[in-house]
Amino acid sequence: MNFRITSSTFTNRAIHFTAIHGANVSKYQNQIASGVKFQRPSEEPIAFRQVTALRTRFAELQADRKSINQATSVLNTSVVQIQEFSDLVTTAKSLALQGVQTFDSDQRNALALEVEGLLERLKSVSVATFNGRYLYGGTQSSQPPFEFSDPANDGGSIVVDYVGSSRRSRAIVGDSIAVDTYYDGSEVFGSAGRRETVILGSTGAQIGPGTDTLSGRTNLLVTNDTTTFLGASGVQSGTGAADGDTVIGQVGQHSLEIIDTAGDGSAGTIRLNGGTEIAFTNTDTNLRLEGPEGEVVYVDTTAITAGFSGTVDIDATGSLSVDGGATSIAIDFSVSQSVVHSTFGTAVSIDSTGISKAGTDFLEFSGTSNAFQVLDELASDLRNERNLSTPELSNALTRRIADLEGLATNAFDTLAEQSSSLATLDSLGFRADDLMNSIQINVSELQATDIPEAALRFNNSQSLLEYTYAVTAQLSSLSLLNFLR
Amino acid sequence: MPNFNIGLSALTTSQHALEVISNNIANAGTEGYHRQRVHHAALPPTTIGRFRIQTGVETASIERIRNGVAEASLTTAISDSSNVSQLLTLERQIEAAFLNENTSLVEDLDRFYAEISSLSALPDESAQRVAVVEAGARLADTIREASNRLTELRSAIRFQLDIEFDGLNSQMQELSDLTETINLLDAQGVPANAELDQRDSLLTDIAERVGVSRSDLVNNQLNLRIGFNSISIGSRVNEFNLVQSQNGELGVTLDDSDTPIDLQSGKITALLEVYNSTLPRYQERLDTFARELMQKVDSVHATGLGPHGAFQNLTGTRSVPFFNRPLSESGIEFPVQAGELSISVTDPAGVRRTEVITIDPSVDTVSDVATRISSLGGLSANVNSNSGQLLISTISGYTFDFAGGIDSQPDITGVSGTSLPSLSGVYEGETNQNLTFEFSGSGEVGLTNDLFVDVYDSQGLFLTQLSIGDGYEAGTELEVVDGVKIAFSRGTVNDTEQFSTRVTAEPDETGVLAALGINSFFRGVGAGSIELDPSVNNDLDRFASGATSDSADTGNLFRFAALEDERTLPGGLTFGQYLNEITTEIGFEINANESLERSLESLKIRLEEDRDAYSGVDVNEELARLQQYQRSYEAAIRVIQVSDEILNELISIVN
Repeated sequence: MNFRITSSTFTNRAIHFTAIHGANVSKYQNQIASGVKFQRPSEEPIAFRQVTALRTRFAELQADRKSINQATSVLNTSVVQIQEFSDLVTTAKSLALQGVQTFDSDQRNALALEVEGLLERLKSVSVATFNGRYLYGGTQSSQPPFEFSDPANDGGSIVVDYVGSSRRSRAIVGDSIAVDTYYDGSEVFGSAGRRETVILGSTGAQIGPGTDTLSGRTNLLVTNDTTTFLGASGVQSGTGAADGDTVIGQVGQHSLEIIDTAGDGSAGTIRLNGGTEIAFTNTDTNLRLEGPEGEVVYVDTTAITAGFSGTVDIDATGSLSVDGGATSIAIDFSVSQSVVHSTFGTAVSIDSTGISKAGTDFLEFSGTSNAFQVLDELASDLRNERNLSTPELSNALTRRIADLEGLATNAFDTLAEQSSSLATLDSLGFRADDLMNSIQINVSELQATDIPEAALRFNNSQSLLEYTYAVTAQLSSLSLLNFLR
Repeated sequence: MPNFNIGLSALTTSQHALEVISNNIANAGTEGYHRQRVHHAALPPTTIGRFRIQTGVETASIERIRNGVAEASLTTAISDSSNVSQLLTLERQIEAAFLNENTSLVEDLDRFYAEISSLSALPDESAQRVAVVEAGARLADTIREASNRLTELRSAIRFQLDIEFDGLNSQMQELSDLTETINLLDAQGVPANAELDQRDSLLTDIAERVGVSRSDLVNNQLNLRIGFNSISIGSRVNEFNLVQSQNGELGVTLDDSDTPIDLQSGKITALLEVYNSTLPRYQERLDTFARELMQKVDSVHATGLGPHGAFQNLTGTRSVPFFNRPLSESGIEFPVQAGELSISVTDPAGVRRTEVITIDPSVDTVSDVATRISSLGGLSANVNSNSGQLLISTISGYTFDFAGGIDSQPDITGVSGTSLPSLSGVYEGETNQNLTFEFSGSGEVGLTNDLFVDVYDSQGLFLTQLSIGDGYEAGTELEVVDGVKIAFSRGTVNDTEQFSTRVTAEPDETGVLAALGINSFFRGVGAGSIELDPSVNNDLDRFASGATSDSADTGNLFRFAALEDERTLPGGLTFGQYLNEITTEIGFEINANESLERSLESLKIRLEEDRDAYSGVDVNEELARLQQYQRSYEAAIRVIQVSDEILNELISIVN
């Protein structure tokens, strides 16, 4: 301690401690008023770094929470639509069952009308939106994902073009966690998976080996191209053969049996494939012969060889078409003939070895129709637009029910996936909330002002400041001058 | 006879003492003033008879009271305190550049990532797209603003240094003048107390600017050092010069010497330290952050697509100063690595094919790159000779992009069958691959038994075998590898025939797109010039959120988001961690210096107290002495009065 204390010493000390206490008063006043202990790194470098890191994490979680909320809204909307889809399928299945059990065409027509109503509702579901964005367009959510048009040809199904994307849109909802939001509509409303191809008809065509690529349903058009009578019987194709012959087959498949009763070829009997005998004369130029299976051939008997009685082999060629005759291929009577649809480029494998007559067969590519086509086909079958026999119709409706069950599985799968995503989002949301809460607590512990402590320190600093002022005033007032007269 | 002289001498010396005390009181608050003490001495005696009678008193000296040791320490403390105080002022400004009340780089970076994450949930929401672009623009603005603040601070320091040097040299001149006056007065034997006070005060001022070390010698001589340099304080005036080296650093030289000197402490040293070291260090870090951010974000952006779709023309936003030199020597701002650049070209029929060019920066110029791009069908590229920017355009009907991925149709020139393969899916592999497909067996797709396709990678390693014979539905997609799918149309295939396709995970292995600013998100080459690319700002659909142009494709957003955790910055830090380190470091420096400042301030006050205890004016003490000399003065008057009365008595006797 110095012996000599000057007034400057008092003054400097007063200024020094006034500044210190004043700064402390200001600091604690700022802490109490702002609610935080520090605002700059220099005030609490380590704590500031911790708080900054926590705030960064908080910002991440906040963004995740926002994404979770958004994705939840999208998926909730979608789940509602998929449930609607599922309900539609269930209702359609019920109508199909009723269709199987009724033989009254009026009742079936009424059921078909209901199914058509369901189809319209399904179309509406397929173009459902959230916030103006299509839910089932995948990454192309800004335009309607489906376009519908009439069947490309007779016997075909409603044409459904999926113009969305095959990729789902994904949202970031956590650290390395993403959920799918906008789904691929072709997947949601798509087919259940190819089953066996069914052919209905009497041409003798069968499904060939291999896996077909045609989908939905279409007609197989089997046409007679040429009919040739072998041997020297003198029988020739009639004038209506080009349009009327329905026989198709290689030698040995079809034959005529001619009996020249007149002995000079002027009259006799003739029959096809052992069918009904028809009398002919040498004036018949277009005699219609029908076989036991309904096959038809038109013959010209004007030049029957005199005295000919016997069998005449027929060689009849034909063609196959699945696009309504737009394109066709010649029947080669092999086990595997690929018949291509000129519009879609898809094909079906036909076993043509057993084809014996022309006609139209119905092809069904079971399990390949999408939801819209299944409903369209169900309505069509309820109306029996293909004029199927009762057992065939019953079988067809049973296949529609199987198709609907496949669609229901699709709907449930999507529903399950989206519900699972929603559960994940729920869990992530709670976790994010908990973490945000925890971070806020941590930040608060690190940065928030301990008000009682700050108030105490504030009071202490203020008191010290007051004491400094007081003692300075006291010392300043104490002077020898006070005692000098 | 009575001797008036004794009383008169007492009167005179008391008056001197009273004047000195009055002066002490008057200068009690004067900065640098040292109290003075009057020393009296008895006058020599005269011999009268056998007695020696003394003849009064005289003022022997007026002493300037000074504690040399305390004041030397105080001078050093003032230098150090001034140094730390100045450092603190500047460091707080650096801290404010990174973090002020309105903006925080870390918060803006967090916001950018957050908006990207949000966009993934609202991919085709234009408002959210605006939010991402705005967040990017704000981040760029904040970086640029921080950089500008640092640059402005550096300029201000440069200006301040000029002022400080002018002041210092002026003080050195004043010091020289004072020293001459003191020496002159000393030679005359006249105390130079006032001049010495002025000199001490001046040295205190100088000590605030530079590190001063003083040793007091006899006869008021002074040994003065500034930094490690002895300073002459005689008639020769030392001049300090502020010089700039070739690397831009500022230094100090003395007089005509070229050798830089170290001033050790004081305000100027702090200014120089911040100018030469602290500020460039933080500027460099901010620049490193900005450049890395631009490179990474631009690389992701360049290799993605927005709803705007593929491009018909693009112009690089970053110039190549010497475009006829190899890229590594071309003055290009961002480094280019040797590797492949994949460019996907879509023809008018919508068929997208991916072409590859190789780039070796040690050999290839940007003009070579342009030539190679031009050699690809449908594309044309050239370098603007004025601006050094790369321009890429297409012929009519074609578009191009750098998004890589999967080509829609593979190269089937080596295949004679009628079945056509088509590719789809999203490639999720990590490396670029040339996938080779080789048929195993001949026959018809979907029909023939035991018909397969074997798949090999770029190295010829077998990856998988796909069955395309009986049981395969022609046209359906088969999973190949890493998200790549292939479908075969119905038709024939022939044994051992091959075709190949490229799947691209990393379209730009070289970094040339970011280096040239092709389809970039940011523009600029550093923290001072970073800004949002106007083409993105003007057309929000240019923001490359996807791997395709689908509006809800969020593929590229995942790549943007992944940057948040990528440890690409020095020290293996992420962008956020790096920024946090910068702000924390300056925070620590300020915190440490605040503590040091408090400590030095306490030391300074203690030394000032020590100084004042010795040389300071205590008014009460002076008043006491004033009383003493007032009494002495009164007594001297009384002595004179007595002498006068005695003399009058003597005269009256004579009269």
